Amino acid sequence: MKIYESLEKNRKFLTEKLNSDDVCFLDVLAGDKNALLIFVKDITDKESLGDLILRPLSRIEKLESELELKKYFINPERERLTDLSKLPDKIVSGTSVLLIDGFSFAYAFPLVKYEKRAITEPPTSTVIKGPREGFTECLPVNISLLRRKLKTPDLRFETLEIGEYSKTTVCLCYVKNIADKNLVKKLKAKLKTISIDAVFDSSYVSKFLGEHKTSIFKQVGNTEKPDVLSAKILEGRVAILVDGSPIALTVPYLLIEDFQSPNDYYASPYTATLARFLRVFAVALSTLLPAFYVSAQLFHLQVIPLAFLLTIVNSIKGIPFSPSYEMFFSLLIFEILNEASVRMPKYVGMVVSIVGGLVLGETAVNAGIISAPTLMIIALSGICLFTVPELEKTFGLLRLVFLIIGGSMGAYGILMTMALVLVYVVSFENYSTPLMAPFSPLIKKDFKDSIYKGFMSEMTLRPLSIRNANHVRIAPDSTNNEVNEKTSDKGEKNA
Amino acid sequence: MLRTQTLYDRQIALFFLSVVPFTKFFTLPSLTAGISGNDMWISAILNLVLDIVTVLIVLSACKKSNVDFFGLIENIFGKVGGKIVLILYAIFFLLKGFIPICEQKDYVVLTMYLALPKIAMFLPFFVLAVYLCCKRLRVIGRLSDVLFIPTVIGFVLLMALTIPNLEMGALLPIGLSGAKNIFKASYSSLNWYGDCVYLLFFIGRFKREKRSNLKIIIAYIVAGLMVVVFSLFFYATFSSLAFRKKFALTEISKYTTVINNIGRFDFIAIFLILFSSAFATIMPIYFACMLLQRALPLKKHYIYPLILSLLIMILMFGLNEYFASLESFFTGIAGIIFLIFSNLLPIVLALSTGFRVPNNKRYRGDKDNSIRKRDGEINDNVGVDNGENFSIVKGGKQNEIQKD
Amino acid sequence: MKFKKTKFIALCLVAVFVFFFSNDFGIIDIEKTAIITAVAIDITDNGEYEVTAQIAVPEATDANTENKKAQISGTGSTVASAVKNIGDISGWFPSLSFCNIIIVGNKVAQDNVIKVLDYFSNTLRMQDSALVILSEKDAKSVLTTSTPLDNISSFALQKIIYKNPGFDNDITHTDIKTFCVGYYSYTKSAIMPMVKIIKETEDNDSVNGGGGGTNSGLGSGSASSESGASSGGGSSSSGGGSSGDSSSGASGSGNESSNSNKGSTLFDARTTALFYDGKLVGSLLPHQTLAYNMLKSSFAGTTIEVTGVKQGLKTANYLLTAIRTTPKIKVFADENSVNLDLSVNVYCRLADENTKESGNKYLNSSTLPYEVIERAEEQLTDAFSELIEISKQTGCDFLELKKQIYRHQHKYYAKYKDEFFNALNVSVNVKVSGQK
Repeated sequence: MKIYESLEKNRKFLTEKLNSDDVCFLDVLAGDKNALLIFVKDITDKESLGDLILRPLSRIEKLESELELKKYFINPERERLTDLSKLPDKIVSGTSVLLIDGFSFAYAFPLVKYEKRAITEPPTSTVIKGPREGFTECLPVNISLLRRKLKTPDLRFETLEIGEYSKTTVCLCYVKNIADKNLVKKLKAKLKTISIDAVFDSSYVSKFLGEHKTSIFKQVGNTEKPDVLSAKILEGRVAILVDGSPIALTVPYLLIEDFQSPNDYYASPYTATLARFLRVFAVALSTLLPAFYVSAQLFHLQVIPLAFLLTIVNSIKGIPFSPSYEMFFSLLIFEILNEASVRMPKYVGMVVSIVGGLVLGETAVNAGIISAPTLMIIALSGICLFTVPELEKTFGLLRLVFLIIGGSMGAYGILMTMALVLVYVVSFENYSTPLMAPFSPLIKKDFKDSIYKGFMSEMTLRPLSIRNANHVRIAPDSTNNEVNEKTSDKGEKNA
Repeated sequence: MLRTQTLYDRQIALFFLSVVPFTKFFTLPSLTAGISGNDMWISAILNLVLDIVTVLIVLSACKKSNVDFFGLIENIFGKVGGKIVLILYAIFFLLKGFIPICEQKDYVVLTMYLALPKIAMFLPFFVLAVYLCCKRLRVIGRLSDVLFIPTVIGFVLLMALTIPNLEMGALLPIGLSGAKNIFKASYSSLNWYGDCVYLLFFIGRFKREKRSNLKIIIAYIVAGLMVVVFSLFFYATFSSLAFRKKFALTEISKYTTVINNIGRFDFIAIFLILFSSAFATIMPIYFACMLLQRALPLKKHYIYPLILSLLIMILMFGLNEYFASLESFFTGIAGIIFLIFSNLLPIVLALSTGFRVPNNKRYRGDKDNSIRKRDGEINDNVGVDNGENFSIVKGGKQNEIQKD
Repeated sequence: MKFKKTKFIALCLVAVFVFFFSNDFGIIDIEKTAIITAVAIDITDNGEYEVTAQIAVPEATDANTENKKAQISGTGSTVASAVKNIGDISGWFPSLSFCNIIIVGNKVAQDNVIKVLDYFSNTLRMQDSALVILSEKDAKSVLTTSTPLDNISSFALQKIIYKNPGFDNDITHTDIKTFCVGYYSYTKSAIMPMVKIIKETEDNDSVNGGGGGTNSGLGSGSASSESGASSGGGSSSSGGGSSGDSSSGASGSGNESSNSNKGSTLFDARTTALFYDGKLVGSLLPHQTLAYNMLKSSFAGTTIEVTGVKQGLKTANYLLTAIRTTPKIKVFADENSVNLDLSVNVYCRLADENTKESGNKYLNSSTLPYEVIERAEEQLTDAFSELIEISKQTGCDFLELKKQIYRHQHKYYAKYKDEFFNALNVSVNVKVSGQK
């Protein structure tokens, strides 16, 4: 639908479409012609409106051609629109539109000005050393943060809109010579197929990106830190930034990612390796300990050392529940407390921890409702799981499954469930990338940044677990490393 | 550079390392100790030599071939004949898997649980069996990549705990039981050995690299050594009692002083081995399903795993009372069947054809095994690069770097 | 298909939950489980087995309440039925998983001890790494005895018979497996420690061991001249060693005993019972047990008492601490005889002496008085000779001499297996030397 030359016709159309109090229809003069400036009051930068539109308009004496307009409106972001039906969308997204009588086009000026949060340290991933800036809800700010980190022309941003009503800007971000072209293509296609009313957060998009709808395992990585995202992009991943969300998504995702903390890269490789081992151990302990404890009590007393067994027997005397119920309900209460403490306002959160920790826990033990070892195991399991907060929900769910199996079928049931989970994760692929890489399939070269954290100078290659167009991280010319030698060897062979 | 093959030679080597030893740690040691006494380890060596020779011949004969087992069978026996052979092989795998599954059930029920548990305790095994049997061969390869870790840790820990109480002198004098008993013990244990037959399913499905054959052979030898070491340690621990210790796995490590003091932490090793052995025990059902699916394709790929698992479960619980008779059948006359299908037939097939068949019968990725493919599944041809081969883009020029 | 899959998962979840909340798949309530720490087996007058189980009830570890112990006896025609009987009459599920000690009554040993131990060896519900002990009299009395060493008598026994540094060589350690291996081997020989209850009277000062139990008094008193094989019955008196070294084997807690348990009871397990074909055929006296242990393995830290050392007109007693021993038993057969070369090098240090004439110049030095060395070698040679003599008399090949021929010279085994000890030419060579 083309823009009419008649201003009145255009006004009529737009008034019908934008019948809202916050939309301002301002009649102005463009030299000798009537003009109409339309914008949304609350999201438009008034200062810029005056400087970039109203002031140039007032300078026009006589308007005869578009050339004249171009002379006055020198804003680089100015856009020339001819489709009338597109104007309402533009206007509500913060663009000021200027229509002039007798001209069948409109000038659009993106003068949007939202209130935005300052750049702060993200609460989900704090670091002891290293950059403390985090993404905000504002996409341009996030893009600028990334640009600041990666000053290369190969860094590409491709935007598209998702959401029937929200028209949320979603931005695909990758480094051209590193990211796998097929992956970018596939992601773009996937994003285009998303049909949804509104996208309020990147998590909305992530649900559509996963190839296994029913999986309890994460399929898309995420981060709130520009430095982490930059590093991931440089490993060949593709990032997805969503306007209105401080959390960037990354594809493809490997399970090991969440065991790697930003801190690891800013600390010594030894401490980083130890920390990663601890995280893996803690998650395993957290997931399996309650189940094994219950199954040992119910079915396999022989595996408990006698002295410890006697302690258990002493402490569970008079407990009205069976060990499995006791553990199950304790775990349930723990989850409820966890959920409550997350949702409650901060000043009430303290009350929850006091009530949960002291009143419920201690009183329950004193009253003989739950035993002290059970409480200790729940606490230990809970704390351990938070060493990898990203996986808390997934492994929390698995913990419950293992507990139920352990309480019903004992250790063999647990072992078989572990085997089942192993088969599942080993066969799990997302965007042709195995979830368990670099352990399954075994990719020795990627071990340098897996559970073991190698020296930075050793990590000459980008992860082979992720498809990328260029595997060399540190150019062979710059270091005397393995790759250097191999390249020259190969060169000789080729020759 | 993307790979077009399903598996890597490394995965096959690790597969044998994870699968070969662990069906042999339950009742087999006491069985062979009952026949060949302190020479039980010689019987184990004989069986392993037979298997290794089979592996060697099959690998060598198929060195320059890219055809898979199904292609070969169809080529030799024709379409209908091939199907019959595949079905016969499937039956063989069911027979091969039956006793190890039964003994694992006995092991779980009798040793792990303080009181006699109900049958339901063993049900998770069959759930795992059905699930694993629905997976493609590549998953087996990937499983092998991770499975060898608990395998090795469990084995080393168990053996380390056994060492302080060994009386290696109990193995003397060597050869006392006589050649007849040694061979008899070997023959009786054919049901447990013959894992070399699994190699048939990998032929033509993995990328051959430098020393692929060597890697696989070494892995098989190491796996065999694990069995021999276990046999040696078992007899050195129990000597005259060995034939009475039915479940060697639980018994062997508990005499360490540490265990007396702090409790049975050797169960960690036992659990790890049990974990690996579950996969090893499922393998015959897995390959039986694969064969049946190939011979008589069904649209729903989960039907055969379901049926076969149910069948074994029913037989196992139904024939519980006749287990002794069944065991004597499997260790007696059935030995011939195991010998033919596990060793002789693979050798004959490999030697007679060298797995060289016309191009039109050649294996083309997992497409041949398309029955397993489901909508939305990733094509096997789009596998991850395992890092052995990778490309480097430098200055717009792509060089391929080969692993040394 | 998707709907079906979701439905299937939901059904599985429901099934698992039902499983979980309705389960009783052989679960044994931990509070209804009798954790048996020791078992005593006797034969009653009417020929039934009486199994007494010592149960570590929870109170045993409760610091706030008075510690208790519990023994429950069950009878039956077999050991298994007697164990089951314990469960029947107590309502507890008898768990043998933690049973570390089996005490066999003397009467059982007279019959055939393997009838009893076979059950424990074969059952999967018990560790056959449990130690096995013969009671001098009835087994039950050992368990029911109140001892100051621990609240639970089996725990007290464990302190004595478990391998501990210092006690290691005064007592033989035999578990069920080792015993059964010996019984089912071609030598049919096995051993186990024999426990005696020592009643201490109030005014007996000797219960102040405090580690003194390590003093074994090799050949002390009259024992050195005893050949010591008190065959059958196992009713041998403690003999040598009892004169001066009191309650060795029991880790001394004499103070406790004198405070709270006047006239209390201690255990002595230094005697070793010998079995052939499952029957008790003799025993080793404490000094012989020490000598036996010295031959079986090289050990350190044990004290050896050398008595009757002549220094001029006087005699004195010395205490040596063995730093290291290197035993060698070489058995080889030829067409005419079996030869045994038994040589032991003992490196020791002087720990104590009961004479002041010599001063303390040898204490902690690497040299020993010549007379002491001579006497120690004499005593040890006697002890080793006694061991071989006992082997001959009882037929119990506890030194595993036959085994060596069987393993290394199998062709002679058939020839000598019946007349082995008669064909045995023994050569004992002991060398004692000082070492710092």
